[in-house]
Amino acid sequence: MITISPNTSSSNSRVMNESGGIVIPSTVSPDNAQADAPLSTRNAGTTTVSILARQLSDAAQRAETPVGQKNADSLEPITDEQYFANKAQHDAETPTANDPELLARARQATGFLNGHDSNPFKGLGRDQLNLIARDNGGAFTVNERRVAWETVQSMAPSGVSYPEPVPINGRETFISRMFHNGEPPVALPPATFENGTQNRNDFLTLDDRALISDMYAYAHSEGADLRHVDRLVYALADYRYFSDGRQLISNNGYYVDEYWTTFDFKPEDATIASRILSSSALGSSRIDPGFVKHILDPGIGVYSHFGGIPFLERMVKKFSSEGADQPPLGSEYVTFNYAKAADHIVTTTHKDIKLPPSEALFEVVNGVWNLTEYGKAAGYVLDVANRRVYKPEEPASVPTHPVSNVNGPDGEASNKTFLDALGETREPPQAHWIWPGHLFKLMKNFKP
Amino acid sequence: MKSSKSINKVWLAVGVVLTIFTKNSVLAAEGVFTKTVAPTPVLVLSNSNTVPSREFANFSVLAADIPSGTLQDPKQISEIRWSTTYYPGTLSEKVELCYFRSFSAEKDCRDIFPSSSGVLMDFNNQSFGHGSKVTIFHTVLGGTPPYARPAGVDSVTIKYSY
Repeated sequence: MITISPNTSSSNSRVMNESGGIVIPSTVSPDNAQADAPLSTRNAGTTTVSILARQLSDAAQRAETPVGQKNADSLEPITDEQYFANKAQHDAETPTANDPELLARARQATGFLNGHDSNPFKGLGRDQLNLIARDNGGAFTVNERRVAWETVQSMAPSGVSYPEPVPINGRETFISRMFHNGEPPVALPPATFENGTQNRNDFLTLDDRALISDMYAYAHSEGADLRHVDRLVYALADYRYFSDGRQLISNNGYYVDEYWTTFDFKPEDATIASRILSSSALGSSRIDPGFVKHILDPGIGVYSHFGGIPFLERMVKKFSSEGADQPPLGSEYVTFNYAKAADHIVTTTHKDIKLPPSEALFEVVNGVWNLTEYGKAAGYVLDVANRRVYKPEEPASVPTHPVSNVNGPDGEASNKTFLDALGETREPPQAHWIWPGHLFKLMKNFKP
Repeated sequence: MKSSKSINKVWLAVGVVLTIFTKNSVLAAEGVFTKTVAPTPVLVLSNSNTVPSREFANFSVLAADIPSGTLQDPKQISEIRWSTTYYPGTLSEKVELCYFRSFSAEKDCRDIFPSSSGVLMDFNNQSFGHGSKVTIFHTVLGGTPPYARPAGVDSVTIKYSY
């Protein structure tokens, strides 16, 4: 077991253990402040170094002896051009050491990159992440290095990621960020197939556009990363495009692996959402309260606005009659991290609610017809050439509607309905009795 | 005149009874329609980091996908099973599954997740038939020019009763 002192020192320097043997990178910058957590665990005044800390230490040693290696070169395998060409290979890569912790972390990194899992390096500082991203000594998988690199990118201030000059006012900022070529007129819903790929910002109303312009100006004046405003704009544009949300179905669940599964905001976001909806500011806010309620509905927001709720609260309040009393935005908005669903959504599987078994008689898969096992067991046959599904005892010359006695492979028609009785009259109906026209036809044919 | 009204009332009552009794026996059989489609590549523009790009996979129901002789009969959705791909190298991917009733341009949508799968009941009891359509829209930011391409395919399975 290796122990180290919890002291830190300057950037790129090392922390020495009491015996002087083990070194790990220091944590000096503010964003590195929480880096100790994944690296070590405390025990009776000493710190136990994790596998990750050891790997970082090794990586730091390698970084100090570059042997002609350039930093830029070490990033090549994980940058877009090369990385995606070999994505399948990277996804299948496992650590050389057969350690369960390493295997789990490699899987988590791949899951994170594919949107299924949380960030294995969450909480690490920029120094540690850079070490991982640039280390080509084999201690980390390519996907782990890619995760580290993406995380560093997301930590970069907007001035680094977007070097274009910042426009001088909110309206210009809004137009330059949200439209391809100048500001278009307001487009009108409903959402249709034809406007399916249209820029949804076109559907923002004039009031929306004025408000958003002011938001950009405010965020810029506060030194905030404007992508916080962007995310809010996307949600508002979707709301307008879908006829103020009326064409969007709200449901925070569906069946996954045959079990009912629900998705909810993480508790911190749920608390903020509740606070927004009950706040006095909402009534006077320039942000449409209908939109705020829509996006804070877990049946909508968990899919499309996770990670953006704290900023929404600040904007609802700032652009309300209480705006003058609001504190500055704060340092947490200086940078922007693209939210991952796994970090912001609580997934619950309801094992007591199972998807009912299918009773489909046939399936048409990419135009190819087949009877299902259920259909076969129920005694149906398929005439592929004529796309007919019927029971052999029924006359083949009549287009068959398998409308009766479909109660399962082993079952029989347990309850005869009145229609079944009608089926035995002299002129059995050949159509499905459901619409008013059918009803009159049925009444006309009925001969007791 | 009075007896005529009485007869009408009797027929009306019979009609109500018939409607109630026949309701459960009408849409008794179920069929399944499945299609697999790769969504189209997304064009990555210079402002793709701030203006979302959107592409889709389209799942149209043709007459050849419906049992012959039942084309005009009423049909209803009883579940929609889906699985989605994703666009590598892009950011903040968002996916919508939209349903269009037969030959209708308007759609109802709900959000789902990229690179995932599930079974929806949200569109149950909506009318279904040839001319119906499901479209899965992928919305992304960023990407490497000139195109961000999907990693795989989207798939939709509609179970319907008739």
